[in-house]
Amino acid sequence: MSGQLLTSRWAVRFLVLLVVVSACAWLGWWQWDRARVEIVRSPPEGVAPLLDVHRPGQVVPEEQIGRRVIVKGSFDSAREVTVVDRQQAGRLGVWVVTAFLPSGSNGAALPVVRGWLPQGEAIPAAPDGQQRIVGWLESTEPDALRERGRGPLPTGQVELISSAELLSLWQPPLFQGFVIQQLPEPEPPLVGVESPALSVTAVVNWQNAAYGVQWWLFGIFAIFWFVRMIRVDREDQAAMVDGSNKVSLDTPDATGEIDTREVGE
Amino acid sequence: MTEGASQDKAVESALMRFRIMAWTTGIGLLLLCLNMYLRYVQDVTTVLDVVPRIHGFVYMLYLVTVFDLSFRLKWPLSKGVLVCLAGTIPFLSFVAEHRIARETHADLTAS
Repeated sequence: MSGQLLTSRWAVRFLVLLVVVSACAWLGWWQWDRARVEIVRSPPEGVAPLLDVHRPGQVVPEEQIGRRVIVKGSFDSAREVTVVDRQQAGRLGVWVVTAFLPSGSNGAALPVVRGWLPQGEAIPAAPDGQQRIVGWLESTEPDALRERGRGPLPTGQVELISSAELLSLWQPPLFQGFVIQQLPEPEPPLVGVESPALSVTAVVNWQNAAYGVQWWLFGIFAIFWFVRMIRVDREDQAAMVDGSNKVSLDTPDATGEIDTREVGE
Repeated sequence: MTEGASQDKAVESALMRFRIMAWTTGIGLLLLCLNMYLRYVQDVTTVLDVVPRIHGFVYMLYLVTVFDLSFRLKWPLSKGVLVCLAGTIPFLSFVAEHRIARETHADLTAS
């Protein structure tokens, strides 16, 4: 009888533990998932003329993101920004983004990432005259990548390549996508931006990541508590068998829960 | 007799740890609410933005002190869980801290 009571009590506790641990695991996973952005892409092989795959006033088709494109035209060095906090080979620097006017696009400006520049270096001027550029086509960077709580940046600096933000700085018309220049190779001190990986998983939101870890810790703590309860229960039962310190430790429960020691008797 | 005294002492210090963490958690929780108000209602960013990131870990420490105290005082599970939950409701952690401290002191002097 008492054994059955004990067993059912522990069964209930174990079920509660399972629920709590699953909830913590799930909530932690959910937060962790929110903290990351995964980008998987598989653009077609080969180099396409830019205007064949992306035109002003249109979004970059998803399957063309990361596609290598070729574009002819000229830089408009009056319209230039630097994108802050860009890492390359473990070093912090900026991307230099200059407006490029492709021939045949009726004056629409295409943001071109000319290269990566180590922090603090002076920006070299964009080349004059007709250029032929081969690079990777990218879509405007999502606002979700913005660091929350960052103050306004000095003029000429941006946090990410957002077509909406560039529109207000550069005036329309503007391409929605942008190109990361691969060829011709940028001249020093500019460094060619590394080719974008086809699958990228990055933690972009440390707050959510911290919440995720916290949920998992709560789950582990619940297990720890449960194990400790079992051990204390065992010790109590052993003490009871000894017949020592039997009743003296039992205090009446204010909350009405029956102590396992009483059940044992 | 001496064993009892040293046990009392251990309970005293466990209680003190619990009280410190209850106050820290309580204050942290109020700061968290203030941060939420500033961030989502007023839409301003302040130094309080670090609070959400660390509060969970502070609460974790609070749980550990509750855990410690609850086994020393042989609380029923439900009481331990309720005291843990009290740490998540603004102002309730202060009430819980006060009651637990009074109750434990009463028990210690009685025994």
